[in-house]
Amino acid sequence: MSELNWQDLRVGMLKNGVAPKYARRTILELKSHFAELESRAIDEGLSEIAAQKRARKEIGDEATILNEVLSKPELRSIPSKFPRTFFLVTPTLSLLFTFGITLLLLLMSYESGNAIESGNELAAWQKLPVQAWFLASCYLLVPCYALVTIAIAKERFINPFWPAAGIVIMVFLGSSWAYTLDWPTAESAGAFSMNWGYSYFPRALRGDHDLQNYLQIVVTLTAAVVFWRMYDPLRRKLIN
Amino acid sequence: MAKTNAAFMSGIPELVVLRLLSRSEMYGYELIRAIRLTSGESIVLAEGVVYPTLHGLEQRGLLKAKEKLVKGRLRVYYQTTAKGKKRLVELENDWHRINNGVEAILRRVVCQN
Repeated sequence: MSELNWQDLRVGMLKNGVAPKYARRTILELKSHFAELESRAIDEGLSEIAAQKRARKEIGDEATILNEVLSKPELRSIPSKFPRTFFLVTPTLSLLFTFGITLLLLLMSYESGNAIESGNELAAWQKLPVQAWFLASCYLLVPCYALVTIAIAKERFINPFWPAAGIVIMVFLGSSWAYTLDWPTAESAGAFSMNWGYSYFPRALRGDHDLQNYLQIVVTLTAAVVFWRMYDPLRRKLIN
Repeated sequence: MAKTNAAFMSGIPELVVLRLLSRSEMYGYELIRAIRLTSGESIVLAEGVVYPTLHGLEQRGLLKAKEKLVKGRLRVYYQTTAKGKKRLVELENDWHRINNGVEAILRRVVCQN
């Protein structure tokens, strides 16, 4: 083999927790360096094969370079340094923070009275941000989190345990809350309500059955599994 | 050409790299050539290992990196930052102190022999 095995080197760095930014840059710079060494050797009169052989000797072997990269803890990515914090603690806190913000919005509406009193009909532009916020926090936040988590874990060859645990916790926590929103009209007052609880169990277990939350869990977890399995072929297709 | 003994190299790449890049920006290949030339070929590294050192120093804020397209090739140029220059002064002081100490020991042992 004349050149270094760039793909093995890249995978070796990523599997050992090196940040993708530095893995990509190391390969890019080494390739450029190798080409310069090779050009210089050819200019000195060596054949292409002899030039590549010399360039390979001068640049060092894959194991030496990999060991040097791994000796620098500052080049490791945050998810690989702190997997529990990154995949479990931070997203859970972010979700709780989102609940908090939503609750605050409801309380502010209640306090001001403007949004809920009858006869105080709101314009579409006033309703839109509130609707978007509720929709995003209720239905989009967790699936987006799951997709981003999978992409991060796949790109970094991270052991799937912590990402999977994080996704499961987020899906159960995220599907445990629901809201209802009735805008005020000329005749009736508006009403906001937010419910938090585990209402996805069948009626036999908890009394009344909430199909919406149950579906959220099943759909999001299924989508996450499918995306996990499809990620590598999709990525290859996109690159090629 | 024999590679420099790794046991003697601890901390030296950082000092050498910060020193050379404090004068002007350079990319990896250029830097390796500068190390060889300036050291009179007494410091010879496996050339690929300079990149993790550069990236580590960049991550610590001691170097700044800039990508440039030159003759169809993407090169990453590095230069010592203000923080890097402060670190360089510390490293140079440490180096002179240790160097003087080792020199003194060597002279004394030679005299006793």
